[in-house]
Amino acid sequence: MIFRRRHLLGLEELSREEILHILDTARTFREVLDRPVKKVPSLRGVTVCNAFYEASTRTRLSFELAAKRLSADTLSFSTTGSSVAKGETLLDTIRNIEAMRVDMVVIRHSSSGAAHYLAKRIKARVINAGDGFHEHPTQGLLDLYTIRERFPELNGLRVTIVGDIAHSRVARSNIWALVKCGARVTLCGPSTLMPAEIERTGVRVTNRLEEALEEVQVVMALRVQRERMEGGYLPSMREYARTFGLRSELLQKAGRPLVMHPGPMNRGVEIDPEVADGPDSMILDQVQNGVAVRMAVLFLTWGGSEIEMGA
Amino acid sequence: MMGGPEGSEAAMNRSGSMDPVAGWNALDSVVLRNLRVVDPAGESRGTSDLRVRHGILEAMASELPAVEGASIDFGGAVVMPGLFDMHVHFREPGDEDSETIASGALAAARGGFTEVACMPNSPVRIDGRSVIELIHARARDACGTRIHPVGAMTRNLDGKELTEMAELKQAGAVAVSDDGHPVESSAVMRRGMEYARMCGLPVLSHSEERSLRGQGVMHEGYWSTVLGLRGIPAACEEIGVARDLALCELTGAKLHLCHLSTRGSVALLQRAKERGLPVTAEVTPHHLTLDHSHLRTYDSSFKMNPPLRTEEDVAALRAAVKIGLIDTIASDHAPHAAVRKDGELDLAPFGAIGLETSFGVSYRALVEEEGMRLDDLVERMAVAPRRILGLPGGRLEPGKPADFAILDLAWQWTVDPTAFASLSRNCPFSGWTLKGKILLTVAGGTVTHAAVAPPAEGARVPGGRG
Repeated sequence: MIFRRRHLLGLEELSREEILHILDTARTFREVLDRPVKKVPSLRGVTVCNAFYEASTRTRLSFELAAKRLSADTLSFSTTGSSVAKGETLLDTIRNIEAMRVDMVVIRHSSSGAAHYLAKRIKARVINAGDGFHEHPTQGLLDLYTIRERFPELNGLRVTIVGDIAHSRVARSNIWALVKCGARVTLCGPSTLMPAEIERTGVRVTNRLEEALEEVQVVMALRVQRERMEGGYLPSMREYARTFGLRSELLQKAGRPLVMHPGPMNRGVEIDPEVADGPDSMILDQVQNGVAVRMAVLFLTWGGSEIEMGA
Repeated sequence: MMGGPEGSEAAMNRSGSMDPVAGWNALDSVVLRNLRVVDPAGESRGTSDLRVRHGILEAMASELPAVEGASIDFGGAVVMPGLFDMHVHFREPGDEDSETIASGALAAARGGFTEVACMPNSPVRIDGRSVIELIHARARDACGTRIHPVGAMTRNLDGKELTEMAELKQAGAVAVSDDGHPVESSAVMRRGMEYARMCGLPVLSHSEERSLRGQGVMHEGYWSTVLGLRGIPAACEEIGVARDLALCELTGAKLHLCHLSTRGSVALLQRAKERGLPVTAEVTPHHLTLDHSHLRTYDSSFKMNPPLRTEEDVAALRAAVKIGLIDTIASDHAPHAAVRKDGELDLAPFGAIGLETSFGVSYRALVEEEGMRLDDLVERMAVAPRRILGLPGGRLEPGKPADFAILDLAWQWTVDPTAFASLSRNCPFSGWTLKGKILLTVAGGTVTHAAVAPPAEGARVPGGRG
């Protein structure tokens, strides 16, 4: 199949075929990463800018490495706070970067829709690296990639996502990716952190963790932030950990599903250290696969089809 | 038509061609022929001619003889009393990049409105006599649309101390409101309503339980979940409406509920009216036509407060305005300069402009799609606002200053905000094709908008027919 999209803004608008095509392409790149020379010339002469308006370590490094492995030139900047607080608008900043002949912009921003906003107004390709609570499509793709390596048949697979769904772009991207591929998704978390009418996306919702873990093959914990207590969503981290934390004995009882977490983890809150570091944890596999998936996304949105394997 | 300050020389613009508005105003006398009269508060008539002399609607009858001067055949177009929008925001004084009194007055005229009531939350609040006098002075220099200031209910809209409402009323305020800044304290709201009642001023309430809105930017529901945007639940408005209705009962003040957006609010309004409370309500054209799914492109023109709700809410609002439970349609015309409005959705200010599309959008939603009578729509948009505010007009009365709009229902036009008289472009109806072009607006005897050239002897409207 030919991938025709110039931007990757979210997984909601992608078809199952497009999603699987990205994953198949990622598999080829994953092989490259296991070679002694971990580089292909696919994006030679292409310039990729990582524009990070929100703190990030993993995603920024992962995108930077992905672009470098494709032989692209990369530049990055990070800034905290909104563009407005800085005095220059988001659009002005990005247009200035574009004026330096940048071909692709990878953007992380605290405003939902920031990537859509840019994609409509600039000529460069736009890759969403996380926008507000909306989507984090490459995270959703790398999670699906990681799951698919263990469970090639996604149809009917039971996956549970536990945590702060309302404020999670990772949850949204995972829901779209999994539901489109036929997985049976259960969401579990406190009612205060469950967004309105989420069932209409095709998921099941429960507040009881034990019920959410019944016959489940994959369980994903989301980061819960301390500011949710100030916002009146949660009484305490202690109560959250006791009610929704992934603990070893619970997972043993549930038949040892694969354990995932998009990071950064709050050890002892949403996930116990022995679970995070245990034999069923896929957390470092997720990170490793992230580079290959982002290579595939950069490659395909640039318009690549044939992958030259020489460096 | 006044033949007033603008003589025929002023009617010529720099390129030497005739400015139609000035040309019309240069006429001493004109007969407007072959007009379908839609005058819900007046006598029912069929097709009539209207004679206007020196700004006065002199006569209205079929086949009027032309005494002198010009006449023009409108080919069966509609004439209706000048429309009245009781909820607009002109940003002067303080934010003249978004709108001025002059540009807002012109936008109103283009939309068929001859009068508007402007809300007090301009950057410099309308909370004292001096600001009202400034607005009146600016309005005198504008195209002729009459502008009625609404005074603040509390000083600086802070929700703490009452304004000098008696003086506001004396200076010309037609109502009081803390629009945009709902009064949080029920005690202050109560005293404000009691005091407004004493002053004979209706209270225009932006009813909202502020804490429930939080940082919300759109309706809380499926689409806020999908888009990852913070939600504003329907209950946020309904709690505010319920409180204000309870205070209406307590104080006996005339309460007008602004921009209702939920079916729950409609139900509360119905119960209050059944119990005989002195309550009225308005709805905006955008809440009658758009729902929360329009936010899916993250276009900030669809970000307003109250937010666009669900299809079920839209249906309930349409039904309510059709039967007159919701009394009037008001645009909540809220201009914002692109430098502030065009940006990340969560950072953009709330509001959309509406004066130039209000009639066309309402006509499409209610007359074309819901089968409402045109008479009833004109009642909601011309008669009801004046009744609510206790102002004269709203009918075609021979012997009074001419105040009407002529509407060509066969003229389809495509909404292009870049061509608007408003200084702002935050219009959610861009690209819509609407039926019904306002050909001529006459406010208090002055032509304020003309889409057709003034007549020579016995002219016909080019391309116009009814």
